[in-house]
Amino acid sequence: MPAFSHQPHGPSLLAKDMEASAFVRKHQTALWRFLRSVGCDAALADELTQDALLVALRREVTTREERTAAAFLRTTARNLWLKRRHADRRRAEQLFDAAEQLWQTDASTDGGNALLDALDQCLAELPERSTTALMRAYRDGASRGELATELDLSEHGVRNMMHRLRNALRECIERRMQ
Amino acid sequence: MTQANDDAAKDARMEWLLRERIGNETPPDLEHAVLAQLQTEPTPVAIPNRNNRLLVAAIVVIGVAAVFAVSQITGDTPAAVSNPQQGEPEFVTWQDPALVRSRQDIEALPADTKQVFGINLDNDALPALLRLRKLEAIALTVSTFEAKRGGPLKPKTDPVYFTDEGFERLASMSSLRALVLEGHIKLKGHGLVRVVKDTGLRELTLTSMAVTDKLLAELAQLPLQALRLHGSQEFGDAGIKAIAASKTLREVSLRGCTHLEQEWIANLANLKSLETLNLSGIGSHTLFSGIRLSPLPEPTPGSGVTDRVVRAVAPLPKLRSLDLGSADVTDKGIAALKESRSLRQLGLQSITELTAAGAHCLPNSLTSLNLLGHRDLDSQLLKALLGRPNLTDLNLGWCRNPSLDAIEQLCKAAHLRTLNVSGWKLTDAERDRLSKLAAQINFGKQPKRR
Repeated sequence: MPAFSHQPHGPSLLAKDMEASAFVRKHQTALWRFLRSVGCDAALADELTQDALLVALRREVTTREERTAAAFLRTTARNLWLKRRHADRRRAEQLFDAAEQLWQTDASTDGGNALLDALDQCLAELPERSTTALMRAYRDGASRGELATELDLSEHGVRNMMHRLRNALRECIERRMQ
Repeated sequence: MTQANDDAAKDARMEWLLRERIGNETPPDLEHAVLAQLQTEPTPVAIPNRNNRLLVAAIVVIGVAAVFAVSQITGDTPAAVSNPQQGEPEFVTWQDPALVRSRQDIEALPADTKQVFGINLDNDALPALLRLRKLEAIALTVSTFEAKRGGPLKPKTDPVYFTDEGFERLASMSSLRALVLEGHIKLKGHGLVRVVKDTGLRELTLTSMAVTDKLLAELAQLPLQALRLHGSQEFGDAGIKAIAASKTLREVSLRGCTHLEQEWIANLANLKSLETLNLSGIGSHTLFSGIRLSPLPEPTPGSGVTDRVVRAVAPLPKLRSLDLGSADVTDKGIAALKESRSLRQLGLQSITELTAAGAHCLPNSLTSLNLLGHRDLDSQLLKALLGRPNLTDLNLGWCRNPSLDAIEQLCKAAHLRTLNVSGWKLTDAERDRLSKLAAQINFGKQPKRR
């Protein structure tokens, strides 16, 4: 929404809002992708991204260097996420640390765009049947049962196929990112 | 990193990539939600940082102890000390309201939730709020613009509104104290009046709304203590007369209501109970009129805040805070404030007509002055501020750099607590020199020196 912020009120608030807007626009996509890459579902990633941005704006992280601000946001998001993972906090911490390392290696400079480009290239190399299976599963939300019927496989077979496909794509992306 | 963790992280990453590329899942545009939430929070007095948090905590502890001690001596309760001037309860301070976008979000909130910020809620979602029996403050906003992938903002084709019929179901929320509505242009009035009336609401903020004179006349009859009409439209002379007839209002804000005429605003001279008045960003002289993302069409600018308006409101006996930011006022108008005994905070940001002659007329009672964006802050103007013995907070951000000698003289004479010099081009030596002048210096964002 055209928040309260965009009303023609005093210039100090407007200037601050413009700075905040620019900050949000610059960092929101990369932070959200990072959270998704850690395993947060989309709704939770929305929420944590917003909360982390708010924390950063309240603490005036906007004035810091871009890389520092991005690292601050990821750490804040990590802490917000861990707060929700009481039951398996240790495991969540380890997963987050591993994801952070991967992010630093492959995505910290471009917010994950190169990874998506690599995926595009890997998808182009897949046989049609595999592409169809991925499209039906991820684009159309088809269940394992539906896929089994359409591909003339057992549900177990579909699970194995998807597992192999994902592994193949993973390796392909890693090769291209090297 | 163990192999298992590495594999799990790579799996999660793969899932994200596939969902985004094939599943058409897109990163959200949170710009407006974040800004809207920021705007519901009070503006901090000073910039908090890691080093002064302990100091602030210590001051708070000492302050609480002092209040408690005074209450023991005088027999007052701490609550009664909260506003020594009026004995009235303070307005709600927004602190991390629960963010909700749907009925399901509301239903997932703990029963003791006190503050909610709702985005794009419809008639079906609102009744879910009734379960929250301790809810004190609600902000409800509509997302009417959207941007795809960082592109330009465009009007949304299907914004989600609620109506009076849906909204009035909140009338049974007896704990409600503060309500912020933004952009809900389908709300015409009777549902809102009923909620304000039945809940005993103290604070009402209507942002980017169509507010008619009739609605204001009905609201002004109710025991509201704060009425803020930020960037709202349609009301005029009759509406402001109705506000001025209120028996209870302590705070009024017409910030950004660019259509207002000076004759209409001057009616507020009759609101004797007024303590806080925000008249910033009003009228054709406003720097930022025309920049808005309101669902309402841009109104024709009125004459806005002029010397006449200042002369009208200056005698208000309880007026403690007055914001005239971007107003079309001159030294002659400012001179009308000279006799005020109550005025503590004054906003004169972006008023370029103010000179030393006007500054000489600022009341001695003033403790906080905002001159942000003044383009001609010369030594004479600063010297004129020397005579304000009670001045403790001064905002000179984004002013053309004045002489540091004059600033130094001013700070020593006035015993400044806070000084804002954001936007100044300073050398390290100048920065060090300024750092010694006030307890808290806000250097903010500074332009790069060539």
